[in-house]
Amino acid sequence: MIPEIKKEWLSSFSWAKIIVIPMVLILAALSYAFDFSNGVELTTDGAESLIKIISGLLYVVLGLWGSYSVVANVADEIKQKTWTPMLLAQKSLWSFVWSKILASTIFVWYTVIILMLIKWSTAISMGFPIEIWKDCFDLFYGFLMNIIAFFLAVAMAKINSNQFSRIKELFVFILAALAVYFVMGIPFSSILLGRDIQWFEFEVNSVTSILFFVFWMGYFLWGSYTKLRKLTHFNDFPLFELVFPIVLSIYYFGFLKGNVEISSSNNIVSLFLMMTFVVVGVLIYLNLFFDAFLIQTFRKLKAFWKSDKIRFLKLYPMVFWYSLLLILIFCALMFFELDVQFILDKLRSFVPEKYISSGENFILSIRGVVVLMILRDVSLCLAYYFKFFEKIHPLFLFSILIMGYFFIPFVLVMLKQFGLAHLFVFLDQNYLWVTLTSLGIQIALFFGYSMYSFKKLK
Amino acid sequence: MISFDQVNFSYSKKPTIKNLSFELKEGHITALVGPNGAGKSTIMKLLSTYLEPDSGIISVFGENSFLNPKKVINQVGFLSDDFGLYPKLSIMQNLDYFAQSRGIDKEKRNERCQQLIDDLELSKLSSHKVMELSKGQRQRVAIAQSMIHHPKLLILDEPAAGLDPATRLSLSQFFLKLKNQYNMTLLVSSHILSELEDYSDDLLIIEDGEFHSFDSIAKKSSKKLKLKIKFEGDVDVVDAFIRKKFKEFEIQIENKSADIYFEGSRKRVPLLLKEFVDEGIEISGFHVVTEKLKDVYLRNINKKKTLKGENDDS
Repeated sequence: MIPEIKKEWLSSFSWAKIIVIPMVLILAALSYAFDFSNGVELTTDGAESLIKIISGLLYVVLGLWGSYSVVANVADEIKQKTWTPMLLAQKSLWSFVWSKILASTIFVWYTVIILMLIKWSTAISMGFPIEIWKDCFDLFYGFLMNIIAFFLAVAMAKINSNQFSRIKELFVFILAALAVYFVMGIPFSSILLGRDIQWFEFEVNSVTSILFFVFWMGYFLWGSYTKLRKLTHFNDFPLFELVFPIVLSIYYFGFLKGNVEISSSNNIVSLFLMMTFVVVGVLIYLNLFFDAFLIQTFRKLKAFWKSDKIRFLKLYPMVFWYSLLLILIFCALMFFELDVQFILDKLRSFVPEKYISSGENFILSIRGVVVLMILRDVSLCLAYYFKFFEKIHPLFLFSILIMGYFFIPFVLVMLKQFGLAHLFVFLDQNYLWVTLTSLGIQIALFFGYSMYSFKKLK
Repeated sequence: MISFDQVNFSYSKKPTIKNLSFELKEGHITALVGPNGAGKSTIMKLLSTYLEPDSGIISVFGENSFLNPKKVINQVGFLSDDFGLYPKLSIMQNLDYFAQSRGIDKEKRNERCQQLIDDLELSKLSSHKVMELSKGQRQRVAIAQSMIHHPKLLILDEPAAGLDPATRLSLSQFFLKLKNQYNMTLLVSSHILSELEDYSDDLLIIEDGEFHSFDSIAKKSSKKLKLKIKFEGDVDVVDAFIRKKFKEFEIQIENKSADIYFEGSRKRVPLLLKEFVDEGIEISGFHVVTEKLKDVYLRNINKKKTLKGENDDS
């Protein structure tokens, strides 16, 4: 047997659980579906209601109970101090990821199987058709939530801590519930509410929804794996974090592209776009905030100033995170560009018109700035990762940085080409705080990139 | 080769390990000692990849722990008081879980678990759940768990904590068996220096996160003798005389008692005493002892404190 499942089985097995769970469920089903007034008889109304209730229960049992079990299992490992030795002992972190999710929901699945058997046996006995795809959708919804809950729990776990508070457990659980709704909300509305929705040119039905589920499951399993590798100090390139906003952008762009009419009349897709921007931003900030990786980065940066070792800075450039955020902003702006008028119309109901018109100008003007900033910063970031700067003279690198961050913007400003200057730094006296923030970021970024060349010059 | 090369590490803002470099000898048992808060546990966690250094290089049998953490993890066994066991599983089930997670196949797993249970005198308890065990028994299970995969380097943080004297003795013999039979390298931290002396080959002293000294225990403790003299008369006068006359020796003076450390045989003792008599100092008693590890450690720590005090004064 798989070690995680065996351990969970041995730790939490009891005959009471095995017998009581099916007994309670079957008795509840019988008392609800059968009519005892005229002997024992299964009525059509009773059977239909029972099937609907079981469908709802599947979300509760697998989605809520399952996800909470996953989070509580990680929390328990941390609290009883077995998290670290367990991680260090794993031969394969891949098999650990899926086996841990299954192991912590072993009794949840037991309950789900009983519920499904009751549902199907009721349907068969009454001659109702069995909706396999619909049932799969219900199960996948809960299972995806389990996987996202595990991913979030692992992202918030530290290897050198024995604490995982109840508040954090609850927080992870709620976040997982929200996250699964944000990634599967549109297919969910298509399947359950009967809306006709397309993703690019494909119709969103039960089959395509299952494919979306499989994709997101795979993506968050990969995310959990990368988080666990990070916890065990593998210094991988943070591809998962980098790809996440891009994948989410393409995913939502598919719905927008395929449902232009819906976005203007129903507004549901556009609302999702705005919410996605918020969720992605929050997720990335949470990831950075709770992740020991960031703390390590700061620590290493500090150590860098004190010692001659430079390899850590090369492997952990803080600027990478900055570039990541820029990509995120870029994705968000891409959304705004596609439906900026709709969002501004929505804002008109509670924001004065003068701010709306100037806000429109601001959004349109900053879009160009962001695109070029991304190109410049990501190029530099990649150059660090691929060790390009090791091959060129430090003075030359230093010159590139001066040109990119000070000289060109300065020349553009002197030429009174403010429109072009926006390509590098946002300058506008009407938006003083934005200008100052933009300048501050540029200066901080310049120093970040320059550390490497300063050290070389030394 | 197991080495630290200019390693730095800090918890939040406080630097815990400062530019630390040392090298452990393969196949030796090294005792890691130092005052509370010196950074012993942190060193062990760094060596086992449990923590990652801020800077510097840690090598374990030639593998850089930063570049190849998995290779290092597979070669290292680590017992930490930060680690727990599964309370609802039995001893055998706990060990079997860790063995299976490490990919040991079933036949070898059973054999290995049983061998460790026997070696650590847990045979009668093997089917007991961990939550039913005493602290000392749990400690022995934790030791077994740390070496289930037969590591080449075993790192043990306070392994004797919570154990009774008889178990401590058998544990000492077990460590020697690991070294002699399996050529295992051990790094052991403990505050019970007399026990470390029984089985350790080398002594690594850490103080305030910095390297203090690394030496062979045999070299350190067997060659030095301590002459303890009790004298009468003015303490200041005698103090000045001792410091002048025996300045090439390590000395410690307290009240009317002086400890003089010297290398060589006991034949030197009459000559040393004669110096006192010639100066007219009355000796009320003396005795000579072979220096123990405890004395070496305390003398080294005190010496450093004295030097630090002198530097601060100047």
